Amino acid sequence: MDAIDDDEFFDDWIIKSMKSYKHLHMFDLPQPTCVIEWNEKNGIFVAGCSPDCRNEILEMSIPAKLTWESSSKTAAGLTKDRDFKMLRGGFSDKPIHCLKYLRGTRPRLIVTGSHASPHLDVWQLDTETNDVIKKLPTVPGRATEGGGVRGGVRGVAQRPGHKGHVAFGSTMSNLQVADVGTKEVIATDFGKADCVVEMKFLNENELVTCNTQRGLINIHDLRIPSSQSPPSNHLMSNSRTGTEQSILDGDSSPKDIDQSHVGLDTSIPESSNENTSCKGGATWTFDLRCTSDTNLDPSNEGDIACKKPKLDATVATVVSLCSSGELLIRDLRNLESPLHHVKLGDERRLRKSGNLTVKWCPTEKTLLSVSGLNGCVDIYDTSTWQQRSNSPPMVKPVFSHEGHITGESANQDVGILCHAWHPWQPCVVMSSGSDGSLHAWDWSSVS
Amino acid sequence: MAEIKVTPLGAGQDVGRSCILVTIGGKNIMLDCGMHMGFNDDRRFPDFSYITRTGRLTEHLDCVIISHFHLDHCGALPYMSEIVGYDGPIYMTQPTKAICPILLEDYRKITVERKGETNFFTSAMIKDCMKKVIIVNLHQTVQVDDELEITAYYAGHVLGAAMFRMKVGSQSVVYTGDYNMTPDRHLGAAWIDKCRPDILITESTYATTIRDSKRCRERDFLQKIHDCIEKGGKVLIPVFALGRAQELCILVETFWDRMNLTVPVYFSLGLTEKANHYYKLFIMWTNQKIRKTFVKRNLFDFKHIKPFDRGYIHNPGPMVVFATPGMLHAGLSLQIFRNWASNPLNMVIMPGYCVAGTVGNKILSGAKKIEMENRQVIDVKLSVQYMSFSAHADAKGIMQLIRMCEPKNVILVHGEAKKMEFLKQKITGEFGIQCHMPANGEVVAMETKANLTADVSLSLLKRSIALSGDALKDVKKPRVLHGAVTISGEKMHLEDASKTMQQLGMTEHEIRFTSTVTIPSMSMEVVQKKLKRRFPHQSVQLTSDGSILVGSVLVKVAGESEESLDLLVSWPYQEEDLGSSLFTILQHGFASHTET
Repeated sequence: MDAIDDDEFFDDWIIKSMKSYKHLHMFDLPQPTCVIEWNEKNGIFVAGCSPDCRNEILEMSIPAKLTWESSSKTAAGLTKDRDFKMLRGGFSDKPIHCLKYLRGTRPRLIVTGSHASPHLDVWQLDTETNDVIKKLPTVPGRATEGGGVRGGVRGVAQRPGHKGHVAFGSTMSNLQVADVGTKEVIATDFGKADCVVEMKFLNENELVTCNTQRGLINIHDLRIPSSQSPPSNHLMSNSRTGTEQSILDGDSSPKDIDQSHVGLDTSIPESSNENTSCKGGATWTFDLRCTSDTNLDPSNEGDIACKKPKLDATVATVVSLCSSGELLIRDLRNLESPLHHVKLGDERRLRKSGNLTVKWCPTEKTLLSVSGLNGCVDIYDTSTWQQRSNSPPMVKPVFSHEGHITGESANQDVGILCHAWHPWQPCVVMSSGSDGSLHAWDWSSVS
Repeated sequence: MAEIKVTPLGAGQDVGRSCILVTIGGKNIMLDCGMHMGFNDDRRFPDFSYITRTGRLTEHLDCVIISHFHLDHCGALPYMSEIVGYDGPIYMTQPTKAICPILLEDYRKITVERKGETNFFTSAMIKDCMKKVIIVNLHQTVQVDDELEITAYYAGHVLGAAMFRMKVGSQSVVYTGDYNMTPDRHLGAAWIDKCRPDILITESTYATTIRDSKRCRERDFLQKIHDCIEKGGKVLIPVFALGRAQELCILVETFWDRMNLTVPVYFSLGLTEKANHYYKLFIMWTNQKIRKTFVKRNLFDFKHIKPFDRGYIHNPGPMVVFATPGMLHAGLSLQIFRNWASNPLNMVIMPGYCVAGTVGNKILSGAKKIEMENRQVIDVKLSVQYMSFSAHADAKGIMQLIRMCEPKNVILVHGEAKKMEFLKQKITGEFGIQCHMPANGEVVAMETKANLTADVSLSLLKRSIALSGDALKDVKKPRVLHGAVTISGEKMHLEDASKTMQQLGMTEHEIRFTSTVTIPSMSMEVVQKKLKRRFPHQSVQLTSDGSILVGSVLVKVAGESEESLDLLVSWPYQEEDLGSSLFTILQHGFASHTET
């Protein structure tokens, strides 16, 4: 009887979904994926993250239905393609936790990192003979003392304007920028702290990191040799370097942050830290948005990374999300005073499930998406948020994708491992669940 | 070494006109005999001249097996049997036998009557061809001849679809046809036992596809219908009575119920009669849910869906109609289409493939004007939608099936070799077995390990069990047995060597190793005691003449002095291990460290 009830429950959800989704496709991957990475065409990469087995990296073209219908109404009906087509695949002996497609490389390359290894694997996508992704020599990582989980690769970012340059590592102490081709280390010694960090390039020379334990945001300038400026923190608004701001890189507690330092690359203002419910086990993640972001543009296919990006870093906005449900939006020039400081959703629903992810919508400036808090992918519209001086207000999502916890075989324990916006199709999002599900959906409601 | 040969005549690295030749244990089998939908010339049929350029196929083929009723698997059958010439047995399941001739006749009509082709098979030929068919039931093992046997397994692709296992002696091959590993609203999932065939020939049409879920397909289907009727349009769904019509009706019925919709839904009467007839006949081929429903009520006894009358065609307002035939080539569905095509508010949803030359095929290729038989030209202004509900195994399903039957080799058909290398490596990596992707006309020959069976005489068996001492524990563990093999006629017999020689009137020759060893002086009783301690598992006997027998090793006094004892040790070559180890022990004079 249970099975039938579940069936009916799901049927109800499917019928309801006809009103809220323009498109909804649900797939079953061979293995759960922690990455959904876009190539420059209408394709994505996914990769298995199962421990103790051979993991697959797949490059797949996305279902034509998802993108065609909006452009040409007549052709869409005849489009049979509502499936992902596997273009090529590779085998990794390690679980894959991060994957970056290196835009502009020819032959096309991807790099992958695993929590299980400090080294970065490099893969060549196209071979003339077949559809197997070829493994190239790895980029050696810097092992951390003690190794362990922190020794593996936690994040990887491609340096704009330098096709083959990537930043990767897991902590300040083993973070490095290296060339995947020559294996030359471009920059290293970002700090000594042993906290896990995430990283994103702001522009060619500036790397932004986020301390996942405390949410601290740092900006590092690659042009300043680490030997000259031990703290290796470059401040954007006032270029005072080599000051005591280095405390942020140390193992200092947030209390040590000197609030009086304007433009200090601190992250959370002291005050907010006290107010938050961030307890010991809380984790943080972040995303970065620049106004003139070099996002994918269909008219601008490929080779984006080759162009000198004209990034206006002065209007870079950073969003950081805590597993407690707290979310901060700040101007990178002024990290002290958040533009928004809110609490997400219903606290009862909060539970750590899956990987904490926050993403700016690449097409709509005010939209952002959040997953890893409750088994759903939630979309928020920041323009509707009221700023209050005292406690952070509770905000509700404008859309919530519940497919992973409502699906046929899904159960309440399924967490979202990752999600990604389509680079230029508004309202198209993909999300992956810990049960191996991959959903592609267009949440622009049906007319 | 025995060998199995597999040669695709069609469907090798290609979809359509499935036809595969298998040679196993000297038997030639043709697996499927399909046509290619994309061609109107000779290429639509498999190249039978590969088998023989002159004469009939009967003498070259032991049997033909058809996996299911889709034309790309059976469309060339009457051509092969009646025009090229084949009189041997054709095996298929009962639903396939019932539905196959209907589809062949449809196909013939379209080709001959509409496109005016001559030199094609006739209705009579279809009938004659079907007379050669022998029905195989699920899990039933059919003896084709004394050596070749075939077994059918559930494939879940369409009603009556089956996978086949062919076996000659210890060699076997499994052919999947098209199959589906996930159960749906009307069929169950494919199943096969752990039969460990030498070769698994599997389709791989969707091997590089990650398929959208069934529910999402259905959702899309309902959404399209809903959008159209909301705007006041009429929806035509041309269906094939024995395909998924029943399933789509259940879907629409459920949806109407939940949404409290009042827009009329109709199905053509012929459709329900035909479908009910076949579902009654083949109820055991559907899934459990349908079987249960069928006991309770007529399958087409719906609350919202009513029988259609031709007079309704011109009724105003929105409506939804399920009508046959599915390819819009004749009958009611075509009549409705003619009347509704010019209104852009209307919609036609094609739920399956259409043979070239049909109206269905033309509108699916985007034709905006269609000329009918009477020279009347129809403007196609209505919305044309395509919905595929076909059920094939994807990469995950293929892996599941391999895990299920544990083959020693895999052959992939229906796929492009360049795009299959990843799957090939995946199979090889996960199962450690060979994987091949032959092109049309390319032969894959595989050596198989031949097992020889021999009868063992009971006395020999008993004796060897007694000798090895461990009786019958670990029954499954292979063990060594000494004996002589005789072959008489087809039989092989394993017997004790001496008995065999007796039978053949030969005298037995014995080879013994004999040597002398000197040990410190001691009585034979002491030697016996010491030997007993060293060989606790052997019988150590002191004979009446004063010599010792350890098993069949003889230890005898050859000379004596004050200090030493010369012993003659002798053993037959069969006891080499025991004999030489005993000799070594004596040589070392019962090495001191073992003395206690």
